[in-house]
Amino acid sequence: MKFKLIYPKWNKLPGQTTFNLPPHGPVVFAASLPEYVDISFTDENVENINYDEDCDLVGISMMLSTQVKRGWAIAQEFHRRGKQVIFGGISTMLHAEETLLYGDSVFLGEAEGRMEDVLRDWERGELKKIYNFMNNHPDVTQVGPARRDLYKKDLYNHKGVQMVDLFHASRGCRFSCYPCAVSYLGGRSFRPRPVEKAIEELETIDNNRLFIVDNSLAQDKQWEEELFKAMIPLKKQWISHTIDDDPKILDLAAQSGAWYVYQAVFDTSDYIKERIKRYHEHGIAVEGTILLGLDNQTEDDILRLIDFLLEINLDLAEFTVLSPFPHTKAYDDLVRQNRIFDHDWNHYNAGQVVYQPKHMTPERLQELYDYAWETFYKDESQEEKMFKLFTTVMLREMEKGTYIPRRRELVNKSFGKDVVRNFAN
Amino acid sequence: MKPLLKETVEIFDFKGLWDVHSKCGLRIMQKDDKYIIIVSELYQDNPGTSITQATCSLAKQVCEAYSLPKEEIVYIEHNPDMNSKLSFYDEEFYLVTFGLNNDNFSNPQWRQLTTAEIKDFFNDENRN
Repeated sequence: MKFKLIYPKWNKLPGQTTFNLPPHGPVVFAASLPEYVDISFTDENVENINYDEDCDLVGISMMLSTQVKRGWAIAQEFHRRGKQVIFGGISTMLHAEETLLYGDSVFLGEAEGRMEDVLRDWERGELKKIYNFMNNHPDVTQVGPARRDLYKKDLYNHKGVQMVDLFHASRGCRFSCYPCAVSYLGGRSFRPRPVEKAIEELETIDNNRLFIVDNSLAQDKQWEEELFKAMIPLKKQWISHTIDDDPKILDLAAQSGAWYVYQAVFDTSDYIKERIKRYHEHGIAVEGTILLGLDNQTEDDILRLIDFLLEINLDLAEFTVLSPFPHTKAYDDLVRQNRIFDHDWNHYNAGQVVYQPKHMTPERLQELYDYAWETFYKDESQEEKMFKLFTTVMLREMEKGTYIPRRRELVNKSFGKDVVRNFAN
Repeated sequence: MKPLLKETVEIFDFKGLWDVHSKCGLRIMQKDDKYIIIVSELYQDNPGTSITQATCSLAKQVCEAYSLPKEEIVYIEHNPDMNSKLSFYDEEFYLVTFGLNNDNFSNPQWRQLTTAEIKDFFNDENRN
């Protein structure tokens, strides 16, 4: 049985450095397919879709709201060729009602242990319109290892440098943060993978650099401690979201190769300043994530926040404007107040204002967002700051004996395309 | 401000989107010939859909569970105070008005209630 798995492309934010990382959702899903299935994977961000490739069933895996319209269009192309299409993934769950209009079937929830039955239905010509496993989670021990063998690895290489591989160590979230839908998607309890299972998968990854994509590892200290301890011998270098602000955890994280973490900077408090300092004291760099446009921010607050960022030695900063994704409290609040004016999911990219902010016009918030990027990177560009981080990791790898030089044969390629070099006179 | 609604009378189990098991706080009061339904969001204690995402379906499920006439309800969504430093988790009340088609609620419209309006509801309740 030939299954064509597709990850739709989306428009990247203008003015920002584009890196195409190997997508995680599709290869995690692929691991849940029975062994007899022959999978062909296409990430449309790095290669074109061959609509005429021989296949029996098409799966479209979507993570972002900015992918859904493209995913629906792809499904229509396959329908024209008489193929059936099943949708799954995070943004399928966020936009399920609309996606139902375009798919022969929509899979909601986590796929481990479910796909044998789905494919049996398909073979009998009885594919259901909805497979609903929301909040009916499989045993987390069934998760992984992801099918990274499906990647065309050279397409995730920029000028000879391999991009990080993605990995997840847990599911669900016990927090219900204002702009976030993870607790809706994965349930409101934290479900860590057994450490030995996580390590078993990490050992299979042929890459010394990882992005651990869990939205917060800081949910169970004992597990976090055990995970980091077990990771030390692997000598990987890794990026993650927040980790616990505890000296023992930070020390273990550093020993296990914490390269940099994403840390939300939501105010100008000493708490934030100290927190970033503590990461730095452990040799862990920090990329600040700064959400603009919340109802408690005036123009002055945003301007003060930007000044503050320049004082606290962030290694990188990523600015976003609030995108009210469905199934978040932000969305509920703005819907009730009738403040969402743009319902085009392509604009829900965290860089475009789609709602009426409380203390300013949408246009002014958009200007402040642009100003934030420009101001933070005025003296040293994003590429220069990234290069510094990259140098740090190379030096560490050289010390540990794990450094792999860039691949010379790919220095003129970037994500599968030829690099156009503009030499000055 | 001190929370106006400190406790809910009961926890109501309902079917959220995609029939996901969901929970909310529920308080029903009678005022003249109207039934005032106050549903409270439980955040971390709600395993499923929020009261706002499920609004039409939840209103119907409450009416049917308590045999309340759908034309005679005043429906209020309540976000309890979460003792958060963030203002998004302050206590809020929204009056929801619906259309009623074939016994189903539709086209919800929300209006945030003022403190005075909310106090009115509770003062009346205390007098009963």
